[in-house]
Amino acid sequence: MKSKSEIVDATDSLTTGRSIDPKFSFNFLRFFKNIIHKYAAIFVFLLLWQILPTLGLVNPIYIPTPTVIAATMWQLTLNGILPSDIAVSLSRVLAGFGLALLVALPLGFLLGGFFRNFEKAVNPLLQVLGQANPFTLLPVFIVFLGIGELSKIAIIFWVTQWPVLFNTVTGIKDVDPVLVKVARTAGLGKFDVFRKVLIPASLPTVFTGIRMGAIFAFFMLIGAEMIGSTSGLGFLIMESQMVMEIPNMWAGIVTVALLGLLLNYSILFIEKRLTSWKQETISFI
Amino acid sequence: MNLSIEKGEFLVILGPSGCGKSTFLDIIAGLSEPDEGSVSLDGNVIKGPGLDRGVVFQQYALLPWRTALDNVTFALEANTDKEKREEIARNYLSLVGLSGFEDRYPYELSGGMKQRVAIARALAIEPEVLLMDEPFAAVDAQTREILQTDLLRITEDTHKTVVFITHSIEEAIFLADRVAVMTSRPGVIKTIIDVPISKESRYTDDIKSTPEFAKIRHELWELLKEEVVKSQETCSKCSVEDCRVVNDDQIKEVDL
Repeated sequence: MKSKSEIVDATDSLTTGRSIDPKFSFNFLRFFKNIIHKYAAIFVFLLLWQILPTLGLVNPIYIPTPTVIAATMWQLTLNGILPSDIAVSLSRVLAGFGLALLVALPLGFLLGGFFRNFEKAVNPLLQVLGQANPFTLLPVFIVFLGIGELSKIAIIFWVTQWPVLFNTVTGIKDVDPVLVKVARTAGLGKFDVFRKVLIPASLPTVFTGIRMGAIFAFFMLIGAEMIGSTSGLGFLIMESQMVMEIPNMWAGIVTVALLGLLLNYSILFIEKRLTSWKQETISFI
Repeated sequence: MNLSIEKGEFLVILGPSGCGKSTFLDIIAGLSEPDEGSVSLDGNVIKGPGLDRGVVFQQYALLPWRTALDNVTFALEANTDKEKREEIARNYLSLVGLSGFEDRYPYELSGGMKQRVAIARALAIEPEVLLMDEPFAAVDAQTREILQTDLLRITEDTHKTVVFITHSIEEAIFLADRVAVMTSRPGVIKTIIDVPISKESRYTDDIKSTPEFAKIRHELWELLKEEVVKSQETCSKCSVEDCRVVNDDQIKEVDL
């Protein structure tokens, strides 16, 4: 009974809503909805963050206000600490991530496109390896590669390759078979089918993997820098916490968040250029 | 089955849906191999796909990352230079009534327009035979009628041999010179019926309401009815895989 009356109510309001001025009210609503959906939560969050420590409702020593954090970031930028840590961290991430792309993309294309039976055979093993918690493996990497740059880049590579590999394989395997038929009836050989149909058709899925990889790479970077490092943003955060320079710690946290966003947006930018033929707008992870 | 198709003929293969007409077309296209028997074109046995056969698939099968024009040039890229193939593609797009839509991506086109692009693409390689696998199954009824008329005009103008697969009796009669009725299991050609309706009257008159049309429709329906019943009985018992095997067994020899 209750659900029935709710349905009636819903249709009622729908019809009255339409009878006013459908076009105007629709666009008007949508415009504001978009704005609100996009930025309102962030705005309210920042506002509360600013107000609560200022009023003393939250201890400002532990959680400084956004303005204090911004000022600290500016100071750390001026004295060169932040830029050098960013450079160190970014170079680690880009090296590990780049290496993962270099290995996992071709491997994924080959496994999904040319060696499907082999892929079927190794898939369970790859899944198990991909599921292994990378933080538990970090000591293993350190044992083999030492505590320097190599072990960090290697662990980032290790973490990043899985989503890239799995998504590339899936992307290639899920290409609509009728497109391959079209290519074959057009007289294309195996390599051309791959180049002209399989690769472009799989790009959207491949990019999902690349973006996931970038996120994983950042997670791993900070983890690795916190566990064993003397430079980088993860080290800055850890170090600042230990010596109770809380604003510095927060400056590091915010920088990491901003860099993550920047990396994700950059990949999204490339992705949109390459897959502009897709009707759907790609949503932000 | 033994089936020979004349040059310039519009042959429609009519059969109940579900059980393996597409396999037959795939074999002519060279995409699948028959387990037994052979298909030959002008006396040469078909061994694989070739540019002497253009295929239009049931789904639109356009490459979504290519514009209408680039979809049509797709099969020409191996052996025609860029300017030449774009000129050919423009001509065929205009033939199917899509001038002005060259730069649109598939998602910007309606179902009917997408299938027009697919037809233009199949024609652009200037094949001897056009193979069509229920090409209008996915478009709405009104668009379908327009596409049928246009297809008839285009194939007549270009003197193409057409093998067209459908499960719609009306579509079959409207398009065909001859209709081959295919049984469901095993997939053999049961009967071949001539459609003695002139092409001119198909464009102009409302032929679907003539007694002649009704007579052929009735005849085909009688032939098809038991196959539909049979296919529903057998198809519920077996997998599509089995279906394919059974149908392949029956294809012995086809001459185009």
